Amino acid sequence: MNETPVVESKAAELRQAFDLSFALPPPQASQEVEDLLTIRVAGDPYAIRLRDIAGMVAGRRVVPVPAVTLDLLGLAGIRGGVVPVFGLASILGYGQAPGSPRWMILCGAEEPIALAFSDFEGYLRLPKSSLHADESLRATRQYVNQLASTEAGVRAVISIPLVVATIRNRIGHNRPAKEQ
Amino acid sequence: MAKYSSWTFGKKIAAGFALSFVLLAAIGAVAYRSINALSRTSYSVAHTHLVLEHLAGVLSLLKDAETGQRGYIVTGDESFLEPYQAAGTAIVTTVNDLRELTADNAAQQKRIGQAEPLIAAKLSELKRTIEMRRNQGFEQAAKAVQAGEGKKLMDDLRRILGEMEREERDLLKQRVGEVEAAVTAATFSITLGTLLCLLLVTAAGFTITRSLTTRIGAAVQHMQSSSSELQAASNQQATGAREQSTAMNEITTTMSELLVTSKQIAGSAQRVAHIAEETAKGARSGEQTVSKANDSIGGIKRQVDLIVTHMLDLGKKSQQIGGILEIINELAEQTNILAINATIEAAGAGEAGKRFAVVADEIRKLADRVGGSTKEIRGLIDEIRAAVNTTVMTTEGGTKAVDAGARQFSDVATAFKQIVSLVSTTTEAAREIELSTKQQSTAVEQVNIAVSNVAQATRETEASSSQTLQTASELTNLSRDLMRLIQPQASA
Repeated sequence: MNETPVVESKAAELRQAFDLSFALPPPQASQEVEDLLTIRVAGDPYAIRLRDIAGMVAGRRVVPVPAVTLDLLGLAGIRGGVVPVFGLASILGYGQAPGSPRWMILCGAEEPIALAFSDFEGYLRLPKSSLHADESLRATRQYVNQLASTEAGVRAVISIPLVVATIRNRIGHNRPAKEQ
Repeated sequence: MAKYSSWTFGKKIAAGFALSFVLLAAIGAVAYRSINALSRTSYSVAHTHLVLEHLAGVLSLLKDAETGQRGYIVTGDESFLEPYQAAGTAIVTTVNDLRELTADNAAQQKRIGQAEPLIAAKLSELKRTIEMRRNQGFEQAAKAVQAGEGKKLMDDLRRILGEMEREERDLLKQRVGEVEAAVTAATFSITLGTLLCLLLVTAAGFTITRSLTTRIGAAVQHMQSSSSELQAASNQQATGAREQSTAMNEITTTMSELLVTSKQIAGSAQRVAHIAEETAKGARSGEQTVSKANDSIGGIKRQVDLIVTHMLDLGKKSQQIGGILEIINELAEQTNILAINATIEAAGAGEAGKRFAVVADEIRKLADRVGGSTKEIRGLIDEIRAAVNTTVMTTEGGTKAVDAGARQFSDVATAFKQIVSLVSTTTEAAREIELSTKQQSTAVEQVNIAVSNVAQATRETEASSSQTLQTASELTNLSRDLMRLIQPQASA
C-alpha cells in the first residue's frame, strides 16, 4: 500500500536530479578519471574503456556468414554500413555462447568491427588511480592489461585495441593473397 | 368268523338275546299250544265232571223227593215234604242245565229226552201219592206205593242216568288220556326246548363272554395303559400347572412393574414431546438464521466475484503498465546507449565536444536512473501482479470456500428443514408414544387383571390337575381291578 509514495518519491528524485543538472554549473573535465563500461562475459565481470570504442548498439540482427574463424558471428547493419560481428566470449576463450548476443561495441573508425556480448551492466567512471596495470595477467588472460578496483570488487579491463589488433591480424593472415 | 368278530358288543349281545328270545318264544309257543290243548282237555274233563255232577244231582233230587214223599206218607207230617218241594223246583233247572251241558252230545240229548217223561211221571206219581195220603190216608197211599209204579219209574230213570254216567265216564277217561298226552307233549317240548335253549344260550353266552373278555380285556389293557399315560400326563400337567402358576405370579409381578414402567414412559414421552416442540421452534429459528446467513453468503459471493473481476482487471492493467514500462525501459536503454555514444563522440570531438560530453553524461545518468527506476517499478509491478495473482487465487479460493460455505449453508438449511420435519415427526411420534403408552398402561392394567384371573384359573387348573391325577390313579387302579376281574391269570 506504500508503493505509490515510493514511486512518487522516485519520480520526484528523478525530476530533482534532472532539474539539478540544469541548475549546477558544468563540471570541469578532469584528466584523472577513466570512463568504463561494465559488462559480463560468460558471467565474469569485465570492464571496457569508453575511449577504446567507437560506439555502442543493441539488439541488432546478425546475419551468419561462412567464415574461417569461429569468432566471426556474422554481419550486421550498423550506421549505414555492414560491420563484421565477432563474439567477445569466443575471443576471450569462453567458447561460443548459445544464442545471439544482444550488445555490441564498435571498434575502429575506418574499418569498424563489432564485438558482441550478452550482458551490459552499466557505465562506470573511476579515477585512474583505481586502475592497475598487472603484467602477470598477460600470462593467464591474453586481452586483459589492467584491473579496475570498484566498490563491488575488482574487474578485469579488456584491452579492446589488443583484441581488435588480434582480429585484424587474424583476418590479415587468412585473407587471400590476391585481395591483400 | 371274521364277520362275527367285527360285530359290536351291542350287536353280539342283541344277537344272543335275540336267539334266547326266539328260543323262549318257540318254547313259549309250544308251551302255549300245550297249555291251550291241556286247558281245552281239562275244560272237557271239568265239563264231564259237571255233567256227572248234574246227573248225580238229578238222581239225588229224585231221591230227596221220594224220601220226602215216603216220610210224609209214613208220618203225615207236612214238614217231610220240604225235600220234595225243593227237589220239584230244582230238578227242572238241573235237567235244563244238563241239556245245555250235553248239547254237543246227541246220544246224551236223546237219553235226556227219554229221561224227562220219566222224571215228570215220577214227580206226578209222587204228587199223586202225597195227595192220596193227605186225602185218603196212609193205607191208600201205602197201597199205591206198594203197587210199584214209582219204583219202576225210578229204575228206568236209574238205568238211563246210569247210561249217561257211563257215557260221561268214558268221555272222562278219554279226555284224561288226552290231558296226559298233552301234558307229556308239553313237558317234552318245554324240557327239550329249555335244554336246547340252555345249550344255545350257554354257547352264545360263552362265545359272547369269550369275545367280550378278549376285546374288553384288550380294551381294558389299553385303558390301563392309557390310564397310566393319563396318570403320567396328569402328573406332568399338575407339575406344569404348578410351574404355570408360579410363572403367572411372576408375570403378574412383571406386569405390575411393566405398568409402572409404562407410566414412566408415558411421562417421559410427554416430556420428549414438549422438548421436541421446543426443538422444533429452535430448529425453525435456526432455519431462518441459516437462510439469512445464506443470503449474506450469496451477497459475499457476489462481492467476491466483483473483487475477482476487479483484481483480474487490475492484473490486466498491471500487464499493460508492464508493457508501457518495457517501452520506457527500452527508451531508457536507448537513451543510455545514445548517451554513451554521445560521450564517445564528444570525446572524439576534442575540446569542442567537452560541453556536449557533459550533457551527454547528464543524459546518461538520467537514463541510468530511469533504467534503475524502471527496474524498481518493474519489480513493484511484478510484486503487484504477483499480489494480484495471489489475491485472485486467494479470492478464487475464497470464492470456492464461499461456494462451499453456501452449499454447506444450503445443506445446513436443508438439514434444518429435515430437522424441523424430523422434530415434527418426533413430536407426533412422541405424542403417539404417549397416547400409545397410556393405552398400553390401560391395556397392561387389563392384562394384569386378566393375568390375575389366569393365575386364579391356573391355580384352579393346578387343583383340577391334582384331581385329574387322583382320578387317573383311581382309573389305573380301576382298570387294574377290571383287568383282574376279566383275566385273573393275567393280573396274577
